[in-house]
Parts: sequence; structure tokens; C-alpha cells
Amino acid sequence: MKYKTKILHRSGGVDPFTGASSIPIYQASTFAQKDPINLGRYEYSRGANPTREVLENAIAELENGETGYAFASGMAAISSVFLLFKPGDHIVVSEDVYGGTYRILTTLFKQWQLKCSFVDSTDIDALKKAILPETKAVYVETPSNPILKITDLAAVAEMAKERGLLAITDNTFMTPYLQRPLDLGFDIVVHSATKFLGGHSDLIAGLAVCKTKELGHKLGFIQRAFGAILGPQDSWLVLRGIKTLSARMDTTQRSAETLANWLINQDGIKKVYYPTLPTHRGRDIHIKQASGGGAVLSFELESREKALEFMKRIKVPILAVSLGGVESILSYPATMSHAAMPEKERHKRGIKDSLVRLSVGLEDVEDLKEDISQALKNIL
Amino acid sequence: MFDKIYSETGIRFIYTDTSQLKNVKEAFSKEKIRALFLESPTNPVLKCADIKAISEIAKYSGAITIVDNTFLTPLLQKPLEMGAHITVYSATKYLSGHNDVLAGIVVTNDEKLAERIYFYQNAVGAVLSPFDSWLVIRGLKTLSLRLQKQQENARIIADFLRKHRRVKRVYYPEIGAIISFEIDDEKAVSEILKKVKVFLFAESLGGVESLITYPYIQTHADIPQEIRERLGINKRLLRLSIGIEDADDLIADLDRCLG
Repeated sequence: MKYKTKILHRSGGVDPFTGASSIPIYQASTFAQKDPINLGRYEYSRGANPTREVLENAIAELENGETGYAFASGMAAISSVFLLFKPGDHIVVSEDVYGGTYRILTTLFKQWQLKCSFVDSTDIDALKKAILPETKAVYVETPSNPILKITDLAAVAEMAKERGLLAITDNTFMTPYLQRPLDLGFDIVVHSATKFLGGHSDLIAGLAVCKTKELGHKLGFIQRAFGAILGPQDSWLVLRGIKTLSARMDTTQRSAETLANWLINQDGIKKVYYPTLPTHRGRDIHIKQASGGGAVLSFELESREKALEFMKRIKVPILAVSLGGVESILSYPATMSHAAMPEKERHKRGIKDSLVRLSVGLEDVEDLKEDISQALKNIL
Repeated sequence: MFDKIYSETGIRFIYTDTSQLKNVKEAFSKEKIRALFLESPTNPVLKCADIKAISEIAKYSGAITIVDNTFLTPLLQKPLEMGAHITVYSATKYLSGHNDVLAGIVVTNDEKLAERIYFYQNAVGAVLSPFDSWLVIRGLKTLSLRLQKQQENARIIADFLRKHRRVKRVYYPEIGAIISFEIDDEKAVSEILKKVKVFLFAESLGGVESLITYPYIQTHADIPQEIRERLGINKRLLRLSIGIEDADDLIADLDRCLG
């Protein structure tokens, strides 16, 4: 089965009981039992809910993993994964990791004595150097947010295997349609399903997929015990979103690539970041491990003031936190995705105050160009 | 969760019977305690704690008191007014009341605690979705109607059980709508659970439908055997969550199953 067909047939398919063309929303907290000793498959919705389970199986299949888990948000998925570790353990983390991940590691988990080092994961030697005797895992994002730095997933997985570490990655920007880290040797993939998987900016959800059953059991225990689960209604919305994942990604990716190449030559744009641009660092590695550049690009204007003015003048994309929706979303990393990171740390990672991030939606790319042109002209 | 997840972070937990004030005093005299977490009435044997007195002891030692008020809801008990700092709820139960949503709620009247709780809510991201939030709000509108009727039914059923020859012990604190009872023979449990028609045999509580639960293998299965025994959670114990059906039908159902 080709991947596009798999996406459709695994994202719900048909209800086995009624033949309904969409999986029912089992809006139930509990399930009546027939036998007190041999309880049924479904007992209480925190443990398992039929609608959530279809989504969990779908993401596991799409990532080529063993078991999938759905959470109340991307951060609930990520926090639950970090609960796999013990106080005193150490994790090596990509330095330009998502601001929310940085925040939870440097506040709650720091308080719980889970240690971490932030390093430039595009440099395998730097990753290796950061490994301590108590290191238990390596956590990377590629392309990174927001300047889309590329980490070599196969090389990280190989290193992790050599050193006996768990390899974890946040695959939100690529989705399994474009990049499948478990196939490259990773152990756990996490997603903010709020973004491309949900795809309509109308829900908050997180997913995690484990490569082995053993790891899955551990994460499953945490999901049931901690209880940061996804509700049936939102599970259904994510499933609905996944059905159009390939169509949405194909279109938005094409537009993003067109825009990136066009932006390079526009006055007032200092630098453009997009994984498949000929000048993008790590481009070859990205092309080797993913089947496209995705739908997110970012670019620097000449100054902070000009970036602020640009965002005010833009009309077609909505100015908002988030990405991966059907509508284009323009964000300001300094006050949005990376607000949780101290200014000094942000600047060290190349996330300048003149940088804006664009998640390209399904609008006609000519309208986006025209809108960007008018905004640029007005601030020049 | 306390034992398997949080204790690994270096937080130590002591378990004590908070229905006896002397146990709480003793714990405070022995240890540096930062917080007290209690349920009143407890699940499933419905022991009640003196929240006001306990909160005072805790406050005196600089500890915070956290009360899980799921069983009574603010309609019947308001722990913050009794001096507790934080109230938590499984809103899955009485607050939403229809066995159709999973949700949790935390309430505090302390601004500093509120700030920290909000920080963690946002950072950890274990948030409630808008649809489920709306379902809980919809449920809240009928909370007083439901719970009053449930409590009324519960009192009638507790009386019935106390008089039944096969019932050895009834736990009911005369408030709320949860009743636990011990039958004379553990072998009858399976039969009862299979025979019930008006009661649903399912894990959970607080819904409009009456549920019967077997705590030993359902809600409390994760608790070690010796602790279960000590808490009175034995193989003869059944828990009822009384709904809003006609009490006569509930009694007839129990009477038929108990034989």
C-alpha cells in the first residue's frame, strides 16, 4: 500500500460495528462490564477510549511504530515522555528546541532533578561531548523551530544506539508524511498534533509513538496514571484532519518552497530559512531523511522595528501563535514560540528580534506574494 | 501515581488515616510536612475527616491543605471555606454528572498558588478541551437537582441495606450519594454483578445512572493487598454510586440480586 492510501485507510477507516464512514465519538467516561473478573477491553476512558484508540493506532502505523498515545496537548505528550526518566538522569537536548519544551525542562523537570544539556545537535561531535555517565536520552528537533536547522537523524540514532541512549524526536514540523524518524533508528517520536496532523487550527492535541512494545508499556502506564489524555471529540477531529494530511502538505509545501525562493530576491529581506533552499545549511542531510522541505519558513527583516511593522501590515496570513493550519499563520518567535526562552539564550540560538516565521497555508501563493510585497513596500 | 511517579522525584509520602485527628497531629510532630492531601469522605469506605481542624494544624506548621472534594462537590462541602488551600475534583463525576466526559478541576483562593498552578497548567499542557469544558458546564447546571435526588435515594437505599440479612456492614456517612457495603460471602459477588439490571456494573461514579463497582479489582486494584485489607477493601466489598432512578426500582434490583 502506498503511503497516501495508508494515511486514509489508517486514519479511522470504517467503523467495524456499523460500517459508518467515520469512527463514532465515544463520549463516555466508563463502560458497563459483563464479568467482574475478566473486565472488557474498555473499562474507564482514561485507560482506553475507543475513539482515542483509533487515533493512537493510526499514528503508530503512520510513524511505523509499535504503540501510539494521544495526549491533551503537545506539551502533555512531551511532559509525559520526560516522566519516563528518574531524578539524576540526564538528557542531551537540541539547543533550539521548542520554547515550551525548554521551559518544562528548565522549570518543572529541573526542580525534579532531571538534568539536561542544550547543545547544537547539527554537530554530532558536540552531542557526543555532552554525554555524561548519567545520560539516558538524546532529544532533537529537525528542522528546528524557527530557523530550521537540520540534524542528521540517522547519525543521532546511531550514536544513541552506541551509547545506550534513547533517541527521541519532535516530528511536528515534518509529520510522518515527510519524515519517519523511527525508520531511521529513533525510539520515540512526539507530535504537537495541533499543527499539521490536526491541520485546521481548531484543536489542541499531542501524540507520542514508541518503537517497541516494552517502551510503549512504560509510556502507557504514565498516560493512564498521569491522565493527560486527549478527549474523544478532539481525537476524532485529529483523525479527520489526518485524512487530508497528504493533500494539505503537498500544496502548502509547494507554496512554501515557491515563497522561499522568491523571498531571497526581495528588498528588505535579509535572510531566508527553508530546508530545501540551495543555500540552506544541512540541505543535503534534510533531503536524505525527509521527502520535502515542509510548509514552514522563516525570514529576517532589516531590524526589529521593520519586522514589527511588517507583521502589522500583513493582511492574508493571520498573526498568531501556532502553525500547520489550512490558513497561513505569521508568528513572531521572540514573543510567541520562544517567549519562554530568556532573550540571551534566544539570541545565542540565532533567533533574532528581526525574525518572523511563516506557516504557509492553502491560499493561492500569488495572493501571499502580493500581500508580502505590499507589506514590504510600505515599510521600506 | 504518588508512589510510582512522584516519589522518584525525591518527594516523600506518608499515608495516614486522616479521619483520626491524632494521626495528623502525630505526623506533623514527626516530620517536616509541606502539604496534606486528603479525601473526605474517603473512597470507598467513606471515612470523614475534620477538614477545618486539619487545615488549622497544617497552617500552623506552614503546610498547605489539598482536598479532593469529588464525592461531595461544592454543593455539599466547601473545603476552601474551612481553611483548605486547594480543592481538586474529578469533574468526570458529579460536576459533569452524565458519565460522558473525563475532566479535572483545581480551585484555590490563594493568588500565589494560583499563579504557580496556572504556570504548570500552561507548561505541562494537560488542559481540558473546549468541548469537554462545555460538557462540564452543561452538567453543572443540573448539579443541585441531580445531587439532591441522588442523596435522597442514597439514604433510602442505605436504610434498605442495613436491614438486609446478607449485608454485614454498610458504609454511608448520611451525606452524598456513595454507599459501600459488605456482603456475607465473597462468592456471591460475581453473581450479583452479573445479575444487576438497573445498576450498571462499571467503574466510575457520580453519574445520573446508578453504578455498582467492585473496588477490590477495579478502582483500587493498584493498591497493594495488605493496604487494601487494612482499608477495609476486601473481596466482599461493593460500592454503589446512586443515580436519579426511582428508588423503588433500585431497591428491587438489589433485593433480587442479593436474594
